[in-house]
Amino acid sequence: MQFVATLPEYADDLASSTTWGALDAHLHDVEGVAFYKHPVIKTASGAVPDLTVLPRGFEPLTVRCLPYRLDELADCGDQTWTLLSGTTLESPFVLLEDFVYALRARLESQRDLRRALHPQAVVSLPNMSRVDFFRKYPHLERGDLHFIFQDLDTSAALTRTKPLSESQWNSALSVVQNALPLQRTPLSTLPPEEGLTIGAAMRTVERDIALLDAEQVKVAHQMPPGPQRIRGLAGTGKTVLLAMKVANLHQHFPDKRILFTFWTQSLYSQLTRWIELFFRANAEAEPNWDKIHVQHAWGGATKPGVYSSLCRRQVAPRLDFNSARARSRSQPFRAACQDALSRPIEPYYDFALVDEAQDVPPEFFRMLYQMTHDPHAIYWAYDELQNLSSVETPGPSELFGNGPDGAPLVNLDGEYPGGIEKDLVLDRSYRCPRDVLMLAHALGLGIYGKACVQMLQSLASWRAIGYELESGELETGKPVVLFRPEEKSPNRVAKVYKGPQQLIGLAAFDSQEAECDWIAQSITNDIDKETVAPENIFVVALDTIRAKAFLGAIQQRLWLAGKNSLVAGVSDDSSVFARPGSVTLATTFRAKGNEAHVVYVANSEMLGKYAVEVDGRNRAFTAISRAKGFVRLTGSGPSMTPVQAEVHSILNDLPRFRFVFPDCAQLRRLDAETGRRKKEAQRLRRSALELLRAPKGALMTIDPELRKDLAAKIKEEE
Amino acid sequence: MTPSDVMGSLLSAFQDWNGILVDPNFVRRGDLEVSWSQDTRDYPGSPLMLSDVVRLSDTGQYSFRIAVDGSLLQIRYCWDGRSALTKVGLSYLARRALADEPESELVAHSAEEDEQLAGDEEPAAGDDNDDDDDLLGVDEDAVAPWIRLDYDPLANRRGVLHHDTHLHVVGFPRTRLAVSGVPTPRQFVEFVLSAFYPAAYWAHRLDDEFLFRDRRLIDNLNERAYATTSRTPLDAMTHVAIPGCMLAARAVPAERKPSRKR
Repeated sequence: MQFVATLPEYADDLASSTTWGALDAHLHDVEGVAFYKHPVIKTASGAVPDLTVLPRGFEPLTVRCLPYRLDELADCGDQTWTLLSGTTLESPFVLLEDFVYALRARLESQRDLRRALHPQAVVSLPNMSRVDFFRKYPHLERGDLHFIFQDLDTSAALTRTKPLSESQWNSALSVVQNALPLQRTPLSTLPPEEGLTIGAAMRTVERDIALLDAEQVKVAHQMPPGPQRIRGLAGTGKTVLLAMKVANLHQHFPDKRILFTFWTQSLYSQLTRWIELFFRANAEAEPNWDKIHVQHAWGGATKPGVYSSLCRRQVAPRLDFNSARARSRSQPFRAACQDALSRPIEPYYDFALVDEAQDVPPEFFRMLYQMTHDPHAIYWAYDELQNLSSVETPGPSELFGNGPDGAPLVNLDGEYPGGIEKDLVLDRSYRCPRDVLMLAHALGLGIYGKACVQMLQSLASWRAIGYELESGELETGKPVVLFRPEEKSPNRVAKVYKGPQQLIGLAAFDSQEAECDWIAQSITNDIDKETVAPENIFVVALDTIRAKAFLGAIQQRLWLAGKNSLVAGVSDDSSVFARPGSVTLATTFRAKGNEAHVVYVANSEMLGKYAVEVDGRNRAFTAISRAKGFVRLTGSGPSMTPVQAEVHSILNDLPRFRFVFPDCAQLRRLDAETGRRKKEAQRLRRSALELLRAPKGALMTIDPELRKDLAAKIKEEE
Repeated sequence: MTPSDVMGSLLSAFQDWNGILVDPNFVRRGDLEVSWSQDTRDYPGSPLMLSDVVRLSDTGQYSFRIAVDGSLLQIRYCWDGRSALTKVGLSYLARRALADEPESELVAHSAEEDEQLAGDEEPAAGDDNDDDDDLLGVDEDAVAPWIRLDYDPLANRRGVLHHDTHLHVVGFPRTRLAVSGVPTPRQFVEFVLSAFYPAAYWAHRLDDEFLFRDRRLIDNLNERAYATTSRTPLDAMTHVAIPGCMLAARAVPAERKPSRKR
């Protein structure tokens, strides 16, 4: 039984903790979940049950825990209770009736749960004796009410039910976890489609009842009284869970200001939609957008951003893009944040949530720290391995800095009262099938390439992303075998699909034209024969310099084949992505935060190009990890040959990685190496152009031996 | 100019300007209209604001988008069902504020590549941070630049001041620059790209001396303009000339409704 305290008040709420202790003694080994102050089930007056318990094999419970002694009670009426001190409370019976009705309605909204479960109301008075209480209030000894008293006898509260089927149990869990809005397709009693096409297989998989795992429940429902870090791979649900957290915060604290910020523009409409869905599922009302601010870290031409809004509050001019770039060409946003930090910042928000934290500089976190009231409830989600050039997550002191006393402003050691953790790790990736995610990792790190470009150095880091050490040691020069257990990638499409397509495809061509032809034909097949909806297909171009022309060429071919497509974010901040009826064509940056059933990763020859290999691997990792199902890698030219060899090596070893652990000191010099390669490539290009532009006859002035060597070297490399 | 002619011209423009014109959205509605597929007749108020252009873009209110900066082309032709053009509206809506400098256009490929290979600096355009161009912009709305070419033979006209075919330009609400005829979609695209994206136009269409690389292609492209008939003496006034419609000024006037007396 998982117990989740959503608020730190649990630590001081002895009545609730005593009650839970008593229940847990009977339910410890029972499957299920229990919440302290569940944010979902509430009364019209806004009260929430102290405990909400869903134990498998028993009726669900809503529990009101009261700390009073019998000698503190003056009167126990049907509607109100009065204390000797004169305080009047809503009767726990009335509140519990509301809770039970609310929970029952939610459970019965699921077809397979109708008449299956009967939530029970429990009043817990752990500081009162049973005998004394009923002697004083004999009219309260009713069959419809269950009590827990000082004797902590919970037997009356726990009523067995008929066993639920697996599907029914999952439905009940989904209700109590508030995961219903995550359901991609409405549940149906119709039998699932046979997985003969990709579309059918994906639809079957998406019929699986949406459930949160234990760590996800904590991320979504806990409301820590201070900073909290959430780490997880692509596809672990961070964005959706943060949206759920925002909805829960707003339910619990309707008058508090909440900021939700992010980096990828195309997330904007997704985030507001999720928050609305989760909030409306609980409150049957709209969220108050005056209190919830969903803002890009910078902002766009027509949408406010955290930085621009802060400058307005500071009554200071903001740096425009050119001015920021003038201060720092490579990191203009960092310059903008430094500009804001040079002026006083007044606290404005009560909560701040940051998605894609790996994409914002430390200065942004320091801004947020000053923008939030004490205790600085800043929750940030960090995508492990999203940014392959720095695989280790930066620590809080690096992000927030130190106070005047030299101590870090934020410390993630330990936990908050109530057992609320400060640092959560999501190690199950739900989006990608196991083989697809492993391909992304292997290509991104370069494990099977000419040389690793980056490496996770500790076993703890590998475990955090779902791998186990099967044999060997993580020491330079030693062979290592890492294994990814199936449960860390629960996506089961590979088992459901029965058609002829491979989960991971690889195709190489002589020219980009041929590559474009193939991609367009394959997409046409996906739509017409494999019944994939166009909006569930992405093409991600790794060559961002030539992306417009390349994606334009694919778009033309699709148009001629009668298929609509959309080039996402064409030089603008458009948040439109995956428009219904259209295939999405994008660069990696635009694709971030989105997912599709079928992903084409084009221009994969970038992985084999000398000067841009690291960038290419970063982008390949991001692109492949968009796939909820099938991935097709394509590329052209001679640089594709080593890429093909690398991919085949990876596929042969799945679900394992076998490699010799690299010298990590050398890898740390990788950024410098990348810079050196790029400058070298630029110099060589200029030299080649000079040779080409040389007047007729001039080349013959070069020493013949040197000319011959040059021609031989070019031929050899080709 | 028939609906088939217009559709063929649109497709031809799309194929010609690969990578510049993106997200084709044009459709034909029988013999009555060629427009865009989600045409809701959404006419933004005046002045046109940048937020209007963003909204039109996000809701698919365009025939094409221009890849350089996300600007929109709206191309609408209407017929009477018997192959006579009754109305035409050709708009270019720029996705930027009127006061801003135009977005950097496509530069020569080698210079872009050099920038990316520079090593210690991230490229500004064409790479993963390409949306930075749009960030830290104004979060207040702003007037957006636009032009619109109209052909409306049934509207009231004022001769020299209001020719059948005329060009509206942002900032001059009562001005109608006379145009000699109705361009084909390809001609309109040529006009917009040459006028507002000269670097891209040069790279695609012109030689080092800024002359057409393939004159025959241009002549073919200009063959099918629609020469309107009107009383307006275009031969006596400065106007915008559509290639292929040079002689429209001398055409026999059509039947007209009496104009309103002053």
